[in-house]
Amino acid sequence: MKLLVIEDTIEKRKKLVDFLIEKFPQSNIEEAESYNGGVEKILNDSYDLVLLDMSMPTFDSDASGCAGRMRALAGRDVISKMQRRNKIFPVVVVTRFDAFGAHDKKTTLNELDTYLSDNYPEIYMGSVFFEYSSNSWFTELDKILKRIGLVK
Amino acid sequence: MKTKRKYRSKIIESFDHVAFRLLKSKNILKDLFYVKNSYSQSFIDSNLHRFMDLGKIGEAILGLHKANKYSDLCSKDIIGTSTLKRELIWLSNILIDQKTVLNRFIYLRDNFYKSFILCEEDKCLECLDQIEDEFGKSEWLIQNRIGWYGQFKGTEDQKKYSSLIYEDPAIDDSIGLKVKQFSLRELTSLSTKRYDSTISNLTHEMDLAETPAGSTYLKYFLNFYKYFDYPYLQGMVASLMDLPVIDRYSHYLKITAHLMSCGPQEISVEQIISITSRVNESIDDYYLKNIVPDFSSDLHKGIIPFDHYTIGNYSKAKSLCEEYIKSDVLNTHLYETYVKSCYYLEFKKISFMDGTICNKILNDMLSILIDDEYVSALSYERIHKLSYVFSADLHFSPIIYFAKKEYRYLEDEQEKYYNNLASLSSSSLNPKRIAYSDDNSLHEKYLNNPSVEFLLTLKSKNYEKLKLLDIDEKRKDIYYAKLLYENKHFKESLEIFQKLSLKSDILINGVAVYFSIKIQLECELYEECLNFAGNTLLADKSMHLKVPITKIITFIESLNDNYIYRNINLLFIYHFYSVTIGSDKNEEFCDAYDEFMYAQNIKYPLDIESKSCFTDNQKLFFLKNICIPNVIDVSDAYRTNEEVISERMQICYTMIDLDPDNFNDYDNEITALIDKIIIEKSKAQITEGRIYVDTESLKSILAQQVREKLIIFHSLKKNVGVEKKYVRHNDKHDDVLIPTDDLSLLIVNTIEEVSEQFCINSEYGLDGNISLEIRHGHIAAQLRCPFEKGFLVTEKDGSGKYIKNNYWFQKYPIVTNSTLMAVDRCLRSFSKKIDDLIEEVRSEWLKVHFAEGAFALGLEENDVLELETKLLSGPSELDVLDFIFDILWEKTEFNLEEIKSRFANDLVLKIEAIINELNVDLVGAKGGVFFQDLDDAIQNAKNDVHASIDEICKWFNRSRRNEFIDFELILPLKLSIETFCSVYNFDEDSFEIQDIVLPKPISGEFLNDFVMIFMTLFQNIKKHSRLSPIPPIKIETELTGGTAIVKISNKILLDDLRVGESARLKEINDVMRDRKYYDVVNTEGKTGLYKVDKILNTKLKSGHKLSFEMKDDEFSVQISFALQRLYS
Repeated sequence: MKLLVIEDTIEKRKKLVDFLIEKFPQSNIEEAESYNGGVEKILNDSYDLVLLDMSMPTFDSDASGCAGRMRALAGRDVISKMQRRNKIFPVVVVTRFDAFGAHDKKTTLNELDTYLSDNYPEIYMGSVFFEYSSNSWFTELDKILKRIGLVK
Repeated sequence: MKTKRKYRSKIIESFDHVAFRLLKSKNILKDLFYVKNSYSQSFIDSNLHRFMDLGKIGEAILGLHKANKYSDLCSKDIIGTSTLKRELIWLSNILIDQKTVLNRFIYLRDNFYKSFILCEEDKCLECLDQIEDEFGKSEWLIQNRIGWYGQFKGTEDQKKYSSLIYEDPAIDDSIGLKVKQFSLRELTSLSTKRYDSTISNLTHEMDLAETPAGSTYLKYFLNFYKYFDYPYLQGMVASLMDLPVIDRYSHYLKITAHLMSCGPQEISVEQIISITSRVNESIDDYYLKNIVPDFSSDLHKGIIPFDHYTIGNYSKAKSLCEEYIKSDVLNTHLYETYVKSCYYLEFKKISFMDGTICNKILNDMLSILIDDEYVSALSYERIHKLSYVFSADLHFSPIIYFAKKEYRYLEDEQEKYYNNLASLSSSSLNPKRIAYSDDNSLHEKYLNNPSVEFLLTLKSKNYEKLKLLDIDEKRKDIYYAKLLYENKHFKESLEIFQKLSLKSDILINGVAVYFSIKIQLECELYEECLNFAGNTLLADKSMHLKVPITKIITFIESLNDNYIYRNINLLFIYHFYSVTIGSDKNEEFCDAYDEFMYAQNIKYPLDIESKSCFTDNQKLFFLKNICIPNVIDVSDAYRTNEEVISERMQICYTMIDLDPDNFNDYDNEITALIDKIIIEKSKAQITEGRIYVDTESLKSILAQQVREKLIIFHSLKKNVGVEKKYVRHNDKHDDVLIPTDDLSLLIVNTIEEVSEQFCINSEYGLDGNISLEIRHGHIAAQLRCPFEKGFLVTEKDGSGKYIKNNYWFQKYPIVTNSTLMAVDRCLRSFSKKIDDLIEEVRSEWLKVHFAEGAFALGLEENDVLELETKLLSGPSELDVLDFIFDILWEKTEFNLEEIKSRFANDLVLKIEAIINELNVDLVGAKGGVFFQDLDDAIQNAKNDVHASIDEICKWFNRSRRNEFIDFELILPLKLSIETFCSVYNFDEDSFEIQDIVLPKPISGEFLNDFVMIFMTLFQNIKKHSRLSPIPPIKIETELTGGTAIVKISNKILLDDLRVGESARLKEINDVMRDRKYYDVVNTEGKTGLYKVDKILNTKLKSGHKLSFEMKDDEFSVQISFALQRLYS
C-alpha cells in the first residue's frame, strides 16, 4: 500500500504517520510538508490514501528556511488540482482548525466539508478535526477508513 | 385536555366606547395596541386626533412630546408592533394632528439646508438654534449639528460636541450608539468604505442572531443610502414613538419614499399613496406631493430645463438650471441635468455659485464624468461623505443617485431603486415623477413637454416611437438599444451597444459596455463576453468601473467548463477583480492561471512569447500583471519560493525590453524583489533559530581557567589508564556512573565550569541569550497575540487588576450592562489564566541551569572519556574549549528538541484547556444573548494559537547568526516592522522611515541584535503609548562622522496616568547609567529600554549611546551606533 501524508507541522505529521503505521504496518508511507511538495508527489505518482492538512505554506522550507506564503486553503487547492489533472484517489483532510482564512472571508470546516463533498466526491472522503488534547481524531479517521474500505 | 380559549369581545367602532375603555384601562399601551391592530383605517383616521385630546390617552399615543435634554431621548415602553400598513396609518394620523408644529419645522428645515449649501454658517446655526428652541432636542437636530460642526468648525469641535452627548451616562445606549456613529462618519480621516464596513459588522451580528428589528434599525438610521433592504420596517416605525415628532415626520418621508422605490412590498403603492394623501392635505411639503403625486399648485416651467436637455439644447438647459438652482439651491434634482449639460458643452470646471457647497457638489459631479480614475474616485468619495450630512432627509437623493450610477455601473435593481428615490426627492416638479406615475391625466397634461414624452416612450418600451422623437442624436442610440434589449431583440441591441462602447463619450460608452456584457451573458455567449470584457479593460483600465466583473466571474464559475480556461481574458478579469474588488477570488485566480498554462501546454510565463494566438498587448498584460509571484506559485514548475521570485525577476528583465516606456516600474520591482529575497531569508534565519551562545566571548573568560587545568592535567597524566572508581550520578534522564579518580574529577570539574558559563553567563551564555531573545517580552507577545487580536485579553492596571475590556462593551452597545459585565469578568479571569501560564513557561519551563531543568547539560561517562582522550593529544586551551562547547551544543540541541515537543504538546493542551474553561464560563455569563463575534474571536484565537506555538518552536533552534550577510540599517528596520506588524496585526504603512546609506554595511553577526533592539522599541511603543490605534511611528536616521543615529518617535496619550512619568524616566536613566539592569531585564512588564541598553553594551560592544525624551505628547528614543565597531 502506498500512502502519503501532506502536513507541515512536524509533531502532527509524526502522529499521523504513527497512526498509519499502526493501521497499515506493511505500507510505504511518504511525507510532504507543503502545498507544492504535496502536489509534486501527487502528480508524479499514485497513492491508496492521502492524509492532507488544510493550511500549509506554499513550498517546503529551503536552505534558508523560506517556505513561501501561507495558504489558508492549501488542502482545498491540492484536491482541486487533483481533480483537474485527473488524479483520482482517496483523500482525507486532517486539520487542527475548524475555520480557515481571515475574518471577512472565513470558511468553516463544515462549509468546506460540504463544498469538497459536493465538488470532489471521488477524491474527498471526509475531514477529521485533529486535537492534541484528545484521541477522538484517531477514532474519526478510523471510521472514515472503514467506510471507504481501507480498514476492516 | 381542554384548551382554554380567550375571546375578545366584538369590535365596536364607536369613539365613546373606545374612549371609555381606554380611560379605564389598566394597561393603556396594550389597549392602544388593540386599537391600532384591530380597528378599521376609517375609524383610526376619523378618531385618533380626538383620542389625542384626551389627557393620558393623548399622551400615550403621542409618545415623546418634547425632549428638553438629550437624556429625554430614551427608550420607553411603546405600543406593540402591528403590520407595516397599520403602523403607517397610525403614524400618519399623529403627524396630521401635529401639522402646525410640522409645517413650522419644514420651513426651518429647508432654510437650514439652503444656508448650509450656501455656506452661510451663522444663518445655518440660527436655524438649528431656532429648531432646538421650538422643538427641543431631537435626532434630526443632533445629526445636523454634527454636520454643521464638521463643515464649519472642524473635526475637533465636532468630536467635542458629539462626545458630550454619547459619553453622558444618562444617555440611552441606542442614542449613544447613533450619535457616536454620526460623529464617526463625519471624520475626514474615515473613508466611507471603512464606515460602511463598520456598520456592516454591527448589523452582521444582528443578522446572525436573527434580530431583524435591530439590524433594520441600524442600517436604516446609520447608512440610509447604502442599503435598500430593510426586513423589519414595521418594528422600526412602531419604535419611532420614542422620538420627537419632527424625527417621526422625517422618518415617515424617508420610509414612504423607500417603500415607493423598492418595488412590491407587503404594503402596496396605492396604500402608501392613500395614507400619504391625507398627510399631504395638512402638511405642506414637496416630498409629500411627490409621493401622492400632487402637482396642482406647481408651475409648468419647472420641467423646461429637462425639455431643453432632452432635445440637446444644452446651453439653454444650463442657463435655466442656473436660474432655478439660484432661486432655490434645494432643487437638487436639477443638478444632474446641469452637470450633464456642462459636460456636453465641454466645461472642465464649473464656477457657478462659487464658494458654496453647491459649487463643490457640482464640480465633484462633473469630475466623476471627466476626470481620470483617481481624481473621480476622490470626487465620488466627497459626495458619498456629504450624503451622510444630508441623510436625515431626502434632499441629497438625486445627487447620490447620479454619483452611484455614473461612477460605477449599478445592477438593475439598484439602479431602479436609487432612480425612484431620486425622482421622489425633488423639491419641485420633475418629469420623471410625472412619467413614473400611473395617472394618465397627468401624462396627458404634460405630453407636449419633450422630456415627459421621452420618458413615457421609454416606459412604454416603444422603440419605433423613440426613433421619431426630437432627442439629441448623440444620446438617442443608447436609449434605442436599451429599448431593443427590453423588447428582447438581443442581437440588434448588442450590435448597437458594442458600436457605442467604442465612442469616447463616457456617458454613452460606460452604459454600452455594461449592457453589451449583460446581453452576452444572458445569451450565453461566454467566449464573446470574455473577449469583449478583456479587450475593453486592456484598452482602458478605468473601464473596470463599468464592466460587471463579479457578474462575469459568477457566470463563468457556474459553468464548470474547463475549456473556458483556455481564454487568456479570463485571467485579465480575475486580475481586475483582485485589484479593484477584493482578494476573495485569489485562489480561483491561481487555479485559472494554472489551467490556462496547462491548456496552452506551456510551463513558464515567458513561454507565452511563442504563442501566436495572442496579441502583443495581451502578452504584455499577461506577463506584467498576471505572472506575479502570488499567482505563479501555484504552478508545479517551481520547487522553492526563491525560484518563483527569480522567475518574476526574469519576467521584469524581459519586460524592460518589451515595454521600455515603463522601465522605471520594472527596475523598481526588481529592486523590491531583491529586497524581498534578502528580507525573507534573513527573517527565516532569525526566526528559525534564536538559541545562541557567544562562545568567542566565553573563551576569553574561561581561557585562563582551562590553561590552569591543563597544567594540572599534565601532572596527573600518569594516571591515565588506571582503573577508575565510579559514583552514581543523577542525570535528568537516567542514573549514570561518573569516575571519581583525581584525573577524572579534574576533567569533570573542567566540563562543569565551562558548562556553568555556557549556561548561565548573563551576558554571553544561554541564560542571557534566552532572557533577551525569548523570555523578555517576545514569548509573552507571541503567545498573547492571538488573544489580543481577538480582544480577549486585557492588561493589568497599576494595582495588578485586569482592566475592563471596553472592546466588547462598544461592540455590543445594545446588550445590557449586567450581561456585558459578566462577560467581562470571564475575560478578565481568562487574561489572568493566560498570563499565569505564560509566567509559568517563562520562569519554569525556560529556566536555564546547567544541572537541572530543561537546559540541564547532564554529564555522562563518555564525555569524561572523550575529553581525556582529547587532552592527551596536547591541545591548547582554546582547542579544549572548542571541544567542550561541541559537546555542550550537542546536548543543548537534544534539549531543544524536547522543549519544542513540550511546547507543541503540553503547552497546546494547557491553552486549549483554558479556552475551554472560558467557553464554559461564558455560557452562564451570556445569559442566552447571542455573541457571534465573541464566539468567532475565541475560535479564531484557538486556531491562531497553534500557529503562534509553531512559530515559537522555530525559535528553539541554534542560531546561524555567523552565516548572516552584512547589512544596511534598513534591513533590520524592515525585518522588525514586518515581524511586529504580523504579530500585532498592525499596518506596515503606519511606519514612516527615512533611510540612509552607511559607508560600509554592518557585520551580519549583529543583524539579530539590531532586530531585537528595534522590535523591543516597537513593543515598548505598543505597551506605553496607550493610544488606540497607535498613530504613525516616525523613524529618522542620520549619519554624522562615524556614527549612525536612529531616532524613533511616537505619539503618546497624555492622561492622568502620565503623572510621575518624568520621575519614572529619570529612574530608568539612573539604572541604565549604573548598568544595574540585569534583574530588571528579566522582569516582565518593565520598560524595554533596559534591554535595549543591555544589547547595545554587551552584544554590540561598547561605544553606543541610548537616550530618550518626552516632549508634550511625543516620546522619542535615539540611538547612536558607533559604526567602526560594527563593521566586519
